[in-house]
Amino acid sequence: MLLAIVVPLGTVVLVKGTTEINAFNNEMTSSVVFSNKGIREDLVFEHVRFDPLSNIVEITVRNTGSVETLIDRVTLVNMTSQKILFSIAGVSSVDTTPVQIKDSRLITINANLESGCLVWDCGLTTEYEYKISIITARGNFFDTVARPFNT
Amino acid sequence: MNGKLNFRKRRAVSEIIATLMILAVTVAGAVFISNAMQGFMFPSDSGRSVTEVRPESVSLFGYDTRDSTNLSDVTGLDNKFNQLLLTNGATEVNKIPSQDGTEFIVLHLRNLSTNSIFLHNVLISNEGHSWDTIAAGQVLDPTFTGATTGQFPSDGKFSIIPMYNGTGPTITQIATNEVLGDGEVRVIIKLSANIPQDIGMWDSLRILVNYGGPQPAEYIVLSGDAKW
Repeated sequence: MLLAIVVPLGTVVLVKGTTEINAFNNEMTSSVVFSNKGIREDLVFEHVRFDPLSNIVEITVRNTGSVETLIDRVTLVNMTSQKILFSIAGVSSVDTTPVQIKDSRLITINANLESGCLVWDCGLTTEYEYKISIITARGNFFDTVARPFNT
Repeated sequence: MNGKLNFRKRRAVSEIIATLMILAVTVAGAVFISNAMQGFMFPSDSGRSVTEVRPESVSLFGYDTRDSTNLSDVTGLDNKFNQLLLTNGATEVNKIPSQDGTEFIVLHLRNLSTNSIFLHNVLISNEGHSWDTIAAGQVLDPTFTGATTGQFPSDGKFSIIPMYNGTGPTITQIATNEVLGDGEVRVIIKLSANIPQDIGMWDSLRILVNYGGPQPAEYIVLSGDAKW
């Protein structure tokens, strides 16, 4: 009788305990994997050039992380007016080949300038600061702030 | 008397076999009872609104917190340009920002797991924003000037739209809060008027997303910024 009571209850507790331990192990493992991935990816903005005679912005980034990085998206925002001057709609990416470790990459984008300007050297365009954000295929954000003809 | 049986020296089964039989019956019963009691003693987490997906698998792949127009490339999803994201400073209830309602922000979330997640609640500045079931399944109309009846999420609520606008002129708010494995969605949040202070530009916002997992996914975003 005692056996009949103890064994079912013991089995339930044992199974539950084993499940919890497995879940904890999985949690610890995945946390380590994700944190490592986040640490290893790193991009540095080396140079930003606003071409005064066109609407082009040239951005040079270097991969200082320990894994190759695919640049998925770039966003350019006027920090004063909050207007987006460049972004990518749809599923297309900025770049199709990953930036290798310690390698640098030139990204060229065409901004939709404000106030009827067609080139960067135009009116108040040079007075504003612009936030440039890069999103990698892993979902990490890297950004910098630049002002035309001052970087 | 040779024909008389000696019962004292004959046994049906040995003590060892009898014990093993009792154990076998007990273990079989234990398995049956443990299966029956699993959900009774320890309620399991199975169900359509919870998931075992880790928070790291719910990734913020972009956001739009600008005080500007066409948030997240949605035509007409505009905030009122005043260098603030209005919350408790809004004077109208459930109206769009141009009608002095609270303002919008948009999150781009990607489920990196193979299992579904369920977007229940988004905490911004410790104020909860729940999924707007009234807006679910309705066409998004962020230019509607009256109090919303599902054209856009109500104050303190959010609705979910597909990641990309598609070819049609309209965007339909998704009828479920489920994000399938490897799926991406945009979450349109109408800020709650209970957030105690309007949000200034370039402030840090701590956002917690309750997706039905063991703990919420946490993100830090800047107001007035866009990444997508």
